[in-house]
Amino acid sequence: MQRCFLARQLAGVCLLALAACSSLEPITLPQSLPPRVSLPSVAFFPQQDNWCGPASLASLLVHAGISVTPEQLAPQVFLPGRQGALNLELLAASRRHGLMPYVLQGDNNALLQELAAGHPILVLLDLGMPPLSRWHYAVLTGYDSASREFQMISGEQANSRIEWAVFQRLWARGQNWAMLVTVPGTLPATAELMPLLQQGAALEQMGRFIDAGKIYAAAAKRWPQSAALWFASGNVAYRAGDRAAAEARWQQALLLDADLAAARHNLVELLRQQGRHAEAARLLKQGLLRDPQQPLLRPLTDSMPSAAD
Amino acid sequence: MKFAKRLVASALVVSMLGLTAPVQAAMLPTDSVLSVGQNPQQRDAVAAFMAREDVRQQLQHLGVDPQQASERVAALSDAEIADLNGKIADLPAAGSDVLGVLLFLFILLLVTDILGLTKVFPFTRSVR
Repeated sequence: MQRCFLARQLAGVCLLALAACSSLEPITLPQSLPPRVSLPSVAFFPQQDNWCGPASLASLLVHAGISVTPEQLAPQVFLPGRQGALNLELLAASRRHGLMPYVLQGDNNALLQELAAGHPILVLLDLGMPPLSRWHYAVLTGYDSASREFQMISGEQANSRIEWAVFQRLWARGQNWAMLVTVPGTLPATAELMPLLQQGAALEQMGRFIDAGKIYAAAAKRWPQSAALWFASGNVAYRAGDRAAAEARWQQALLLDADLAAARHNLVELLRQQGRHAEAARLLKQGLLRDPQQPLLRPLTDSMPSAAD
Repeated sequence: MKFAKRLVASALVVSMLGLTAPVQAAMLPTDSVLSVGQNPQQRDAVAAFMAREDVRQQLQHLGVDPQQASERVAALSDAEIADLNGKIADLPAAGSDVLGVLLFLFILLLVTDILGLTKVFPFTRSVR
C-alpha cells in the first residue's frame, strides 16, 4: 500500500519534472550578439562554508570598482538562522556600497545581452528539486554559443561550465532571478524604466539622493518623455536644495502628463513655500478641474479655499 | 513675580498654538508614483515603520547582530520590507552548493537499495 502511494508520488514528480523540462524554450543567440563572450577579469572568491551569497556578491561589487571581501559582506547579507542569504538583502547590501543593484526583467536573452555588455550576473539556482531544494548563488561570466554553455563562478570553481539546457532548468527553479550592479549613472543594457525608478526610489529612501539623481539623469536620456522620471528628478533636486531645478522638472512632468497628481502636489507645495500663493492656487485649481476628488490634491484645499471653487 | 508668571503662561500658549497649528503637508516621495492603485496620502506611515521594525526583529531572531540588523533594514525600501515581512523563514536562502551529509547518505543508500546491494528502507524494491 505504502509502496503504491510512493510510486504514485514518484510518478507525479517525474511527470511534473518532464512538464517543466518540455516547457522551456531552448536558448537562441540573437544575431546582434557576439558568438562568444568571456569576462576573465571578474574577481573569484572561493566559497567558504555556506557563503555563496557573500562570495558571489563580492565578485560583482569588486568588478564594479568597490574594494570589498566576502568576509566584509557576510555580516551584511548572511542569515545564520537560515544558513544562507536572501535575494532582497543582496540588493540592499549593494546599495550600502554606493552601487545600483538591478534585477533582470527579461529571460535568457537578457542574460546574454548583459554578458555581452560586460556585466557579470549573479543568478539564483536550485541545484536540487522542489522537495529537496538546494539554493545556490553563482556568477555568470560568459557564454559560448558554439558549445551552448555558460561560463560561471560557482562555489569553489573559478571557471565552471554549464550547458544552457541544464542551466535553464536550475534557473527556472530559482524563479529566473538574476541581478547585476552598476555604478549609478550607468544603465544596464536591458534596463527598463519602472525597475530603474524603483531602484532610484530605494536609494532616495536611504538618503542617497546624489546616487538616485545620477540614475534619473541617465534614464532621462533614454526616456525623455517619462513624466514619472521628471517627477523623480524634481524630488532629488528639491532634496538637494535646488528649488529652481525642482520647479522646472515638476513643471516638465506636468507638461508631459497633466494628470500626474503627485507632481502637481509637490509643485503647489513648493510655490506656497516661496509665498507665491496666487500661482499655487491657480495650479491647484487646474488640477481639481481635471478631477475634483483627486485624493492627493483635495486635502491641499483646506489651507487654500480659493482653489476649491 | 506676576510678570514672570505671565511670561511663562504666554510662552506656553505660544508653544501650544504651535503644536495645534496644521502641519504643513510634506512633499510626496518618488515611490508614490510607483505603487499602482495605492494612494500615498492614505499609506500608513506608522504601519510602514512597524513593518520595518518587524523585519529587524526577524533578522535578529535569525542570528543577525542587533547593530547590523538595523543597518540591513535601513538599506531596504518600503516595498522590499513589505515583500520580506513574515516571509524570511520561507524565501529561498541560498547557501552551500554541497549536498548535506545526511541527504547524501540517504540518496546513496536509496540507490544501493534499488541496486539490491543494501536493504535499508522498507519501501524500496531491488531491480534485480
